[in-house]
Amino acid sequence: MASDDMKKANEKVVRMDDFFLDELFSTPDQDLLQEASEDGIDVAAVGNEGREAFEGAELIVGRNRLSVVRQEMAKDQKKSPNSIDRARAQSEVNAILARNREAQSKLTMAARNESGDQDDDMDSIIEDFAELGAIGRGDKDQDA
Amino acid sequence: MLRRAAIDQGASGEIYSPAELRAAIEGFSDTDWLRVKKAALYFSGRCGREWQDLRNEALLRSLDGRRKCPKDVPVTTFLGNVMRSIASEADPTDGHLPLSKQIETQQETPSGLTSLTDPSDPVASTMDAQQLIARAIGAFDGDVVAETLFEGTVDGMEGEELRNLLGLSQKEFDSKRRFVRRRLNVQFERDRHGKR
Repeated sequence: MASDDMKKANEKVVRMDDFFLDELFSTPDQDLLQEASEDGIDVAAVGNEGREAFEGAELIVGRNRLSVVRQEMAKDQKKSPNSIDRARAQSEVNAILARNREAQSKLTMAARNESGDQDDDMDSIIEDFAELGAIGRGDKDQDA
Repeated sequence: MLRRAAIDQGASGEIYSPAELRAAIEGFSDTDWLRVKKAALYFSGRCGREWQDLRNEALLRSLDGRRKCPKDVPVTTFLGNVMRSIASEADPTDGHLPLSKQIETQQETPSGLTSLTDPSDPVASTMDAQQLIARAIGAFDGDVVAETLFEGTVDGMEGEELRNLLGLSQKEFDSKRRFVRRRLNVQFERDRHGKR
């Protein structure tokens, strides 16, 4: 019995909401403006506030997306070069550089302009070379 | 009812991409925002949220793709239904209309519609739903035609049947429907202020 009452009451609310939305969204603009005028509503101000809310929501959505991208990048950074067999990778990089004096010279100059220490630079070079496929990753996990 | 049917049909059709939805909302006119505000005011009364909060949450869920809008449904109508769905998420212990168990699934459907036919707390739900209907009837200040129109509508009578019962011309009937909707808006906005 209570279940029937519950069902009937809820169905009535659903129909009331259907009616309300149907009616609200099918009311012609002209009638809605007339209604707003009678109620003393500043429709332009309502519009401006809505647009501000939209811009605010867009900012939040954009920020959330950026946060997801940053988290993904942080995950990638954790994975690289620490998980690479550094000794083997460095040896491969050195071999490439030895075969190409011009590249070596450019990398040395680039390294001088960096503020990080040499180990950091080498990590970055190893990661770049691994990304380019110039050297094997030789992941420790894979080797294990 | 036609609009609801269109939304249900949209569930199997094409949906707006987030970018398309963003562009559609960006193009809202002042009256579109007014409709969104009126819908937010109507639903916020039952869930204890401020109407701006309800509107903002609906915008967020639409823009980030959690809610999907069918292309054959006006975006304003879609937002109205998203707010309706969010309003029914509230905790029944706060005196709000409770959630359907299936609500999260339904929120991911293209229409974003929800159903209150399977409430999680039957007793609280019955009371809340009955109170809502009673409060709505109180909005008509003894206007018998408006009350009959409202009660016939929530009992499931079709428009033409109801119009004949009331003995109104189409124009009078449309005008009375608008009156009823307007009174519901005022009543639930008043309730919201009363609760605060």
